[in-house]
Amino acid sequence: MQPDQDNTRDPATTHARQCAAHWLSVLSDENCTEAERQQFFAWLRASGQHVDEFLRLSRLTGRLNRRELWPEANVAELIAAAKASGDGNVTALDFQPEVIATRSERKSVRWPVAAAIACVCVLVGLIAGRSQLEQWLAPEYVTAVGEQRSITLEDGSVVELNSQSRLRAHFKPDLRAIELLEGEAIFRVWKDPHRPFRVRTGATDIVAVGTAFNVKASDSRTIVTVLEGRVRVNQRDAAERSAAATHKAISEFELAVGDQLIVAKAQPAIRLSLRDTEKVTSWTERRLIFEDTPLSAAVAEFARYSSRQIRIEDPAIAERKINGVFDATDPASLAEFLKADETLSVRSDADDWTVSSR
Amino acid sequence: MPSGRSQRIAEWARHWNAGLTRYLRRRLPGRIDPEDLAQEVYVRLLRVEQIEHIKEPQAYLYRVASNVAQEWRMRAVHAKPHSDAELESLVAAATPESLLDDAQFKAQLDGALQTMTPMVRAVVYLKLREDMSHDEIAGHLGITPRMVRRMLTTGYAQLREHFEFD
Repeated sequence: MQPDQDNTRDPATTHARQCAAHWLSVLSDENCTEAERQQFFAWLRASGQHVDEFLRLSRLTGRLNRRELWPEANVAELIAAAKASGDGNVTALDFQPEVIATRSERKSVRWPVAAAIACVCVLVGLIAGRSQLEQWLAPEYVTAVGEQRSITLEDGSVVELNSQSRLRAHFKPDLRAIELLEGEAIFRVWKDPHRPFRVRTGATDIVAVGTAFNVKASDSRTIVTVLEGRVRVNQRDAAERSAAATHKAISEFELAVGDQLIVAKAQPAIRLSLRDTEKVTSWTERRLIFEDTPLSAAVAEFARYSSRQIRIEDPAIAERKINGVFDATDPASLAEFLKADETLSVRSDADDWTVSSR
Repeated sequence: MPSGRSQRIAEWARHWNAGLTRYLRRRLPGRIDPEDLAQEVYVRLLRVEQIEHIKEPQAYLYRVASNVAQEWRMRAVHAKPHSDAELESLVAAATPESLLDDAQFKAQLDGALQTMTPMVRAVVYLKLREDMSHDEIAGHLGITPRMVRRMLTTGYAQLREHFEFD
């Protein structure tokens, strides 16, 4: 059993429930349109599971129509608390199952157009599978070279997104599911014990409740560094390769402040204890701190922030270790630093530099 | 502004909803699995050829579900020499939600409400307990009707999860 509840249920069920909740909400709206009712019926006819989930939810809410089952609440206080929470002002980034439905709300959309969109969506859904479709519909945040963004998510968590990064957020009732598709981000997680905050990268699942951590993901590996609180990291491919309990011990880690975990695909994870996390978070101040960092890695870091490239011509110097603090937006500072090394030759042509050994 | 027509429709849907709830809670023989019922309803929905003629799909769904439950009940009556009264008592503990008595149900509802954000809680309360329209809820809470839908979706999903897992 996975500790993460979301993994124990198939995505189709989760999605069917979400959609059932959505449709009951739409249909109970007195301003529900004819087109929406038809779309509901199309959804219903798409699967027996849809019928099942909708009937179950209807039965539950039907029973909830009996007033005596409800706690006595002061309606004025409920309303005041809701207003004070400011929830309604959030331009929510949450997952909505109904791209089709929101479009139909615009009166200008004609039926044939809506039907065509529905057909395309159904086709896409059939080809890609429902969970894939759900993923496509989630909002995506992308930063270009040199661009950094601070994003406040629907739940109040803040994401600092480094340059050349891509992130998706799906908010579900029981899980805040984030995908870091590439790049690097710091997550300052809003505490909500009922709704774990999960960051998924190619190789790992990182689960937190209220804490702060940095994640750097590339195709080959993921580096997680805890800045505050605790997080749990699962090495996904290991867990998927074998469900044996012995493997689980290897693939699941509890990290505390200052702990860093380096997870590469199909390899045992490496756990480090950092003296301080300044180096990890320095990118938020657009500083790059190198400590015995190979020149090739330092150059790759600079490439994230600036389109001015430093090229290494000689493989022998790619492994040379670099130490120093640099302005991330100023690759010239690294070029100058390298010029000071008499064993190296640094040529500048137009916007780029080429480094070779003398 | 909700038109008289849409209010009538909402009324009708509520009526059917309540009807179905009663049906499934009290009249479903113990051995009818809600999932089997849903499958049978699904098969019947697939047989509908001209969907555009169905103006009230939700009400239609409930009617089909009620019919299926009724048919199965009739079949059960004929198959076994049970009186209606016996059957009613058999049925009382039939479906998952009705396995909870009112006190347990109340406690669970209380728990579910605690897990909601204040806005979702207020929307769910005003909708289900106070039976308000979406426009009325939007007015009371100072949010858009679109947000009411969204909050209600979240609330329904949370209720569904809560009542299953406990």
